[in-house]
Amino acid sequence: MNRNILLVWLFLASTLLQNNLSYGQSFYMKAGGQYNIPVSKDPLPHYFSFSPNGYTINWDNPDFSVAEGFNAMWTAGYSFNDLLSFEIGASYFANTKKEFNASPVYLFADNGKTNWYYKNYTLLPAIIFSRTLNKSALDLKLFAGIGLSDLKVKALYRSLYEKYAFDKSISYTYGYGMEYLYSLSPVVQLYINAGINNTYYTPEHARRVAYSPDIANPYICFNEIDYVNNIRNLKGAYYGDSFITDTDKPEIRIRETLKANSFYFGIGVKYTFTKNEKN
Amino acid sequence: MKKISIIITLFALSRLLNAQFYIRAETGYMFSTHPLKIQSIEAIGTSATVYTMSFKYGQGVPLILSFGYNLNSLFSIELSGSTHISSSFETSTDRPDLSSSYNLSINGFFGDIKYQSNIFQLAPQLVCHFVNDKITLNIAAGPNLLKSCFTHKLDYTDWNFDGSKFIPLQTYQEVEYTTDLNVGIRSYIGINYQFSSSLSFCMNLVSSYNRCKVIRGEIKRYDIDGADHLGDLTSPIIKSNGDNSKVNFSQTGITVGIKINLFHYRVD
Repeated sequence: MNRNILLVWLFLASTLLQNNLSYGQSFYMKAGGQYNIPVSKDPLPHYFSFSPNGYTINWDNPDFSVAEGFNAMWTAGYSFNDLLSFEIGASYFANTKKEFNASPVYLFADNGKTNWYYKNYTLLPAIIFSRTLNKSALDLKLFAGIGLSDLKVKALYRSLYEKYAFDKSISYTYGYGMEYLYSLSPVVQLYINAGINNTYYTPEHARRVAYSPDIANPYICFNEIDYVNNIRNLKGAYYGDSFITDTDKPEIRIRETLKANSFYFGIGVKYTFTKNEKN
Repeated sequence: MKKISIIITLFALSRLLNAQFYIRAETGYMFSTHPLKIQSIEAIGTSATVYTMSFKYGQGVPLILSFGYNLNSLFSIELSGSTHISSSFETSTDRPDLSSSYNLSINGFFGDIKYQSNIFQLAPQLVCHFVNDKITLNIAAGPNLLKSCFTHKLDYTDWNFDGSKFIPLQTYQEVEYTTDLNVGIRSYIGINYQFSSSLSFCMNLVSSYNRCKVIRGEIKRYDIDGADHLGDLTSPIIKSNGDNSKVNFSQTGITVGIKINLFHYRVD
């Protein structure tokens, strides 16, 4: 029922807006998909410890990025004139490169791997500058927005594993790009685009959501982790070379930002709500 | 076949007759987008404190000179060369006194580090520009060749245990690192305002992404308690640690400058 009301509201709103447009002004909607390739990599962040059954696992990787993957974009925009438009996009991103093996592999160490499941939902306001070229057009796009990021990480060594889920927290995105649009009809255009996208996400809290039944003493590990800016006078005790705090309370670790910098390219379709000439 | 080649060449050259050369000089401020962070832990009895040090390689004031060529009303090619000034920064932690407490332990670096990253970049780029009266909007992208030579000046207290107590050794070290030539990506989006047929003001949002491998380090100075001990080292050369010694120089920032058209003819 609510869905029907929303559809009727959208239809009425678009009809009213369409009838009140001046020359050169128009509303439009776009839908498309993009593929992202990382342009910068970093050492793999250690958001938690993974030392099951006393093993010291090597799971470092100096060439890590979660920026590789697909994103889907839905956009609503308004053209003020032939040159300038404003739009708001909703983007969903999921990484496709998930598995990172220990690198370099040490001959006399236990080498493991991690699986990263990263999703990002972002609202992206953008300014568009256009240039019309006969049946086609070129757009320059500058965007910045905020969103929510969702991360799950699984660390594995042979049959042993631990999986942590990170609370959704705010991520920041900015970038710019270019679109080439080709008119199929006065209201429908196909477009291809390319550009640079930067997303930064800093986890604040994580929970251990699963661990291998083969782990002998899971209760000595932390079930929760809080990420903070400063650690001062943290209470605990040395156990061997490690400083251990009370495992009944969340582990405290320094915050680390997950950076996703990518070059994107994609394809999509644009539908423009034009003014009826008879009105 | 030869005639066709000549016709194609002449056609290409005729397209270039609409072109013009320009130079652009810019400066601004670039921020490191991937600062390196290291942690040091100090534990006194049952209490631990974690110190974080941040290294902002690639941050500083860029001096950029670009030489460009308008292919037509829509596209240009340009070559940008740049270096950084004001790229010296300092990061430090408190220095624990191991001689004052028997239940104190430390892990990591404690002291002061002054570092300077000199970077040199060369970026051939394809530029797309939209001209609208006196305003031109630009977007550009291309490979970015970056090489760096950066120095670390470390001032710290080394501790020597003589069997009964810790003896502090005030240590000063200067290390110079050289990186390989890395090929990354540089892009910008910007706006030009034309004052006259030959002069424009420009402002750009610039991003570049480079990660260089440190290929060599050399200890240039090594003093203990004010006395030179460089000769005591087995070798002042520090070997590269392969992929684990990569340094991220990625940066983003705003630049402003002037663009001079070398011929007083504007392509529209």
